Amino acid sequence: MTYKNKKPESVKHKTLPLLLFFLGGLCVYLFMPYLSLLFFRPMLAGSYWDLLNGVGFVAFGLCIYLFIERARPRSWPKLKGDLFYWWHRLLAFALLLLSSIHGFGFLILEPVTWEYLSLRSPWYMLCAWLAWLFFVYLCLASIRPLKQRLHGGFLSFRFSHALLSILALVACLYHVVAAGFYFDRYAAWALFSLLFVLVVSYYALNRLGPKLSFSKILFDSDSKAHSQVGTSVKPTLFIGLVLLCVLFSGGLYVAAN
Amino acid sequence: MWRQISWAAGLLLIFAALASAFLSARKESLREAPLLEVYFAHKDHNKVGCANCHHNYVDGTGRQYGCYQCHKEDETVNLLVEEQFHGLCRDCHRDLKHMGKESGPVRQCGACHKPDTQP
Repeated sequence: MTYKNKKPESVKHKTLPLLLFFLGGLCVYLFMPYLSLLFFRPMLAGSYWDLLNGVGFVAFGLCIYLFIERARPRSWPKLKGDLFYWWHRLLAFALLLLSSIHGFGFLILEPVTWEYLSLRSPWYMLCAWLAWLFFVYLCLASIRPLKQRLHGGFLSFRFSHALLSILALVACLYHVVAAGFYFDRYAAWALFSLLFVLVVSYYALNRLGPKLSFSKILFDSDSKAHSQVGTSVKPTLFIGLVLLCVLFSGGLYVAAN
Repeated sequence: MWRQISWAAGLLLIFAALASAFLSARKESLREAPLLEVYFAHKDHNKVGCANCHHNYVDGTGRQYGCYQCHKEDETVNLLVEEQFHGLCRDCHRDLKHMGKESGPVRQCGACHKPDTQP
């Protein structure tokens, strides 16, 4: 048996459990924040409110995840080429579907919310509709024939995609926070801050410092990063992250209340 | 280079003009739109101090009995109608619910925004 014949088999065996672990982790990441918020402070407002807001939270989680994933190929799992575009587009369309269910579900079940389609609706609602329009454009413009027709060159697509994605993310964040339905207790801010700090750290380390890549430290036992991060560094990193979360969440809580 | 700068400046100007038009249209809409109907029964609120809602009787901001004369006509507050009224009713209902006490609606829009049939 040659080396070439042996390699795909070993890769396959190694990848499947990791892939399942990744998908499980993604599900936990998408569902846990909202379930934790419900645990700390139930909505008490009727099942469809909780359900539709849960759908909105999952959509927001996906929106953040699409940014983290963009840290490829340093992030894990390594998504490249067509596989990356397929996965990214699949999740983006899922995000569009979920955000549509969240928004239009309220319009159907709460007819008074049609008022929120007017110019006089609160800023956090205007931001939400703007973000949804951006999502529609981002998804449609990513389909190849439309992409070529709308943008022509790749650079034009990339610039507009990055700009609109960032604007959509900021608008969604403002919508979630300013609606004030969940973020009025310290526990909620603490949870949000923990997630935010972890996400930003993950993204920044993956993008800026390949030697410090979280994915390598955690999953690649052969890499230098895995062995270099010694026992003294890990507690320092942990304490630093906790302190950062406490300061960040405390500051946000004071500012919001 | 200059072409790119002029493009960016042009886009910025168009954006500023659109934003300005949007803001003025929004203000106009907020001031002129009629208020939504709100159901309110005084008998359900007899445990709440009168001045919690009728603050004008204690803080010297006027002697009108109804809320809308000021909150709709006074230009210093009429852009804040949604925020102030939701803050007064909804937040109080929510706090009571979290304390495990009986309270009015928290989220269901149609439970408050319906014809006012009670004194």
